[in-house]
Amino acid sequence: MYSPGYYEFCCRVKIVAGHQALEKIPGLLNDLNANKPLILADKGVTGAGLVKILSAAIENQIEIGSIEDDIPQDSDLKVVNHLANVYRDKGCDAIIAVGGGSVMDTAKGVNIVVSENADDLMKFSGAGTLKHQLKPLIAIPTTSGTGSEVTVAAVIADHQKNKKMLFTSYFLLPNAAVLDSRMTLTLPPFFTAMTAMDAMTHAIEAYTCLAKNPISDAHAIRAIAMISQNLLNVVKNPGDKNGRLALANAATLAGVAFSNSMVGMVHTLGHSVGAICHVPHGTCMSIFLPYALEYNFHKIESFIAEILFPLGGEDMYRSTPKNQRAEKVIELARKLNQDLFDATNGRHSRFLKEIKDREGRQMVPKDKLTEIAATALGDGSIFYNPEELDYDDCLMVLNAAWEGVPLDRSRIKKG
Amino acid sequence: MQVPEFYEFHCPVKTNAGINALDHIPIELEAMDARKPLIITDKNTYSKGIIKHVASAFSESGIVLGVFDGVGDTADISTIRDLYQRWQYKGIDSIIAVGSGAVLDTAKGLNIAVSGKPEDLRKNAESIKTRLKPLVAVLTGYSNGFEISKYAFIGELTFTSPFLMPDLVVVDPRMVRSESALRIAETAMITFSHAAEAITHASKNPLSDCYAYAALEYIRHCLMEALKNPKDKKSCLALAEASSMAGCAFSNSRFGMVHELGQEIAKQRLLSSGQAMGILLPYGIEYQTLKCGFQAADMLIPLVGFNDFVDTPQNQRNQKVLSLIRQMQDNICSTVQLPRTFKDVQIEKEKLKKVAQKVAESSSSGIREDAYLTVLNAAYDGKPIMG
Amino acid sequence: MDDYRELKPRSKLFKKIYIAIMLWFVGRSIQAASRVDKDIKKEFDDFPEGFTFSLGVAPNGPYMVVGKDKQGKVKYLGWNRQGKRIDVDMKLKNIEAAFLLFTFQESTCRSSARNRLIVDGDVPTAAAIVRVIDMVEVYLLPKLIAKLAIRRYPSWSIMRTLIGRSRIYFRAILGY
Repeated sequence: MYSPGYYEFCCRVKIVAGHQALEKIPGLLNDLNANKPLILADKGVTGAGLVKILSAAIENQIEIGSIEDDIPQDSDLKVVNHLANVYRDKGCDAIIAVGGGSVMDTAKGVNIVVSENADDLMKFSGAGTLKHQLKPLIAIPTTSGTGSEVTVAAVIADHQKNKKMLFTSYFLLPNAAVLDSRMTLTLPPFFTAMTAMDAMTHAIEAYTCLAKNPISDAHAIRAIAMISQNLLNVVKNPGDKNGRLALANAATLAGVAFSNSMVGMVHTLGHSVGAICHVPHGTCMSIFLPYALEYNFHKIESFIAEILFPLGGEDMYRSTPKNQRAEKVIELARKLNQDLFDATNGRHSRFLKEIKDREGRQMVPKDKLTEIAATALGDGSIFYNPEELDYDDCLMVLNAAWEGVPLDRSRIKKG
Repeated sequence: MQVPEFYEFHCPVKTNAGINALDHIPIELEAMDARKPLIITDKNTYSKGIIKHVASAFSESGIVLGVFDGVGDTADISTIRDLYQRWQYKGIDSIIAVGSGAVLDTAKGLNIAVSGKPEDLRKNAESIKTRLKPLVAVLTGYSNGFEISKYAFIGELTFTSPFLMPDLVVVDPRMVRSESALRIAETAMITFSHAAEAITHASKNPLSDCYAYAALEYIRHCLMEALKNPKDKKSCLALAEASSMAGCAFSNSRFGMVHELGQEIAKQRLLSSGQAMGILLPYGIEYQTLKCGFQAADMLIPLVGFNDFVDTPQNQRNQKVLSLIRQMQDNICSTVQLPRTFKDVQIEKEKLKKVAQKVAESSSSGIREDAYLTVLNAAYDGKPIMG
Repeated sequence: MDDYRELKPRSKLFKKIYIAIMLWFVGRSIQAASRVDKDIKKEFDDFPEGFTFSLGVAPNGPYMVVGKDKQGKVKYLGWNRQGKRIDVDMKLKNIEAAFLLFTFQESTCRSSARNRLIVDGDVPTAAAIVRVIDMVEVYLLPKLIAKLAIRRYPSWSIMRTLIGRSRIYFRAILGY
């Protein structure tokens, strides 16, 4: 039994999940004394017809204030302010956010502006500046990955001042997260692989990093098992409704786990690759996962070994000798990337040098690695990693992950 | 593991557990825009002198803390009315409840009154749908997790809403010492029953499972240690943590037979609910596994760990869990003076019949009276239902 | 009603004084170390002029403030935050959390993993400050204790540790 000495755990979001969960939204809004929601989405979401499904599910019982689907991938303060004006002009009294991380963050920002009647969002940045309940917010994730429907943080960029503002508060949590299999049913296999590996990484890092605790551990174990049992199936049979629902549940479980126990170096390095080379988050996550396990191995071998049970299943756990279980987990993490590479005809990248953009250009040139390593030192997740990471350590891992070779473990400096 | 076709889960509780947990209360209140809490407790808890630890967390706030220790055996309207008036003229903005079920019920009742209209307390309000005032629950050696659940029992009335659950549950090693091994066993049996029925229930969900899982794991590792050495801080802390997790799981699952019967037996003053649930556990779980679609096997992992789980063939896992529960009951009963059967405590079968009748009348589970009676009779004889 | 009484919590003067002394010494040591150790100096080089950061205890202190002046020199600016603009603000959530940290019962990482540390401000800068504090601790503390305070004890040469340590102690006590 692992006991961390002291921990905090909180999952205040109401979770409503099922094949017909959207139909519950009018009731949820009614409980929150709201009846005119503003629906926020992005073009991808409307393009996939998801807002139509949502509207059809709720419009009989409730008046939709407005549908705004022009939230860009790199949403910012201007977008937030514009949407807040729409909210006020149309007399809305709640927000429904449909989409991935960017839509969720924007919705949280809009919610601060309309609830606090703020003209300057900046005043509310940082931790603990919000003191009151905000307007009702319902989150509908469409990617089974980020878990941002259950996280307390929001990042909003101010492109004019070239700044990113971080907001953290329990009041930013949506009142409810609605997981409906219809919302992820049309997600293409490559995106499914990428976002599910994002969730997988959340769960594995939550289970192995410094702030782990018994309740988040239970969430993590459950999430890992559900993803490993369903991911390949769903990538091969995208129409598998039950598999889709399982992945959506797993992503939320993983989100609950990591928002309580934080994440480590997969995110430290992944965020930095994303920031400098604009690689999608999930791709970075799946590439760095085996490396983080190798790098931290000497500190957390027993935790890694336990992961074999949910990740490999009971037969594999039984047939693997105790002292080889942790190694097996690393092997499996690599194999999963390989399997997804095969199942997506090579679109799921296994190493950094493989990542290509739409035009087929390499996204992470080798000469960027030094810049990535330097950026990584400034990522907050570095403090939750079991082992210390300095510039040379980051560069060593980056080089190996670029080539796609295992870490030379004799070079790891052990604390 | 199957994912249900549909479920809802809601647990507004934040848990702060471990070393110096109490000291974080002021900053947590501050985050909810509250600065002047009222401490509610009972005479027994107050006399142990542990309230000073709660007060000491406020050394920097410069406030004078009000402490009310007049909660009786159950929560009643007149106490709440007194507290309501005090709230009004003392400028109180939040509640810290320290102690057992009646304390929490009183605190929840006060919270209903101060957050809405005091008249709300007169009806079985189904209508508590928004957040109430900040409520902090500090667990003590008496806590079994039922007190932090979404239920409040005030006078003759029962209130149900997730918003009655505390915003913050604090588990601090300085607060959770229990006075005797017997007491530990009783509370642990309630915690265990709630977690067990939540994780095996036919209509369970993956999120409440996580809380129940962690609770069972903690009990498995710490219960016997705590019974052998009731002063052991680490095990008492773990059991208190388990109780709060079980309370969260329980609030998100339907009642099971062990809970229903245990509560009714306590209500009829035949036995404490902890002792009753301790007796009922093996038979209730067995019956529900046989007849009600419960999956006893789902609690095998937290009860034995991964290694023994994979070594147990799939078709034997239900049986294994049932025998583990019986074994646990044996171990507990041979360590402390806990009764093993209803026969041991001389509760006649006639009285059990009345219990079954009452539960069947009030339960919404659709389970019939004879089913309840089967479980009660098995628990009377101490013989498994399948022989 | 005799069911109601009022409690005035006792102040924790001893712990506050202890933490105040530690903060004072750490603050002056950071100033000293920035002139002695090139790695620490390098971390500060990236900070803008006029930059300040504070480490202390919520809600009422004690605190220490360190800043960089117009000449680019790192200076301990005292215990008083009043009237100062703080760029990166690091606070322990309460006096007990600070006591655990400054008696080395919890490392900086542990304290942050246990959610006892609040950081407000630019995250990369805060990360650099934590690295500086870690290095200063290596200088100030005997290896056995420093190992409790940080994740990985650096493989510095004995000369760097010993000579650096005496120079930093000397400067911190004299205050230059």
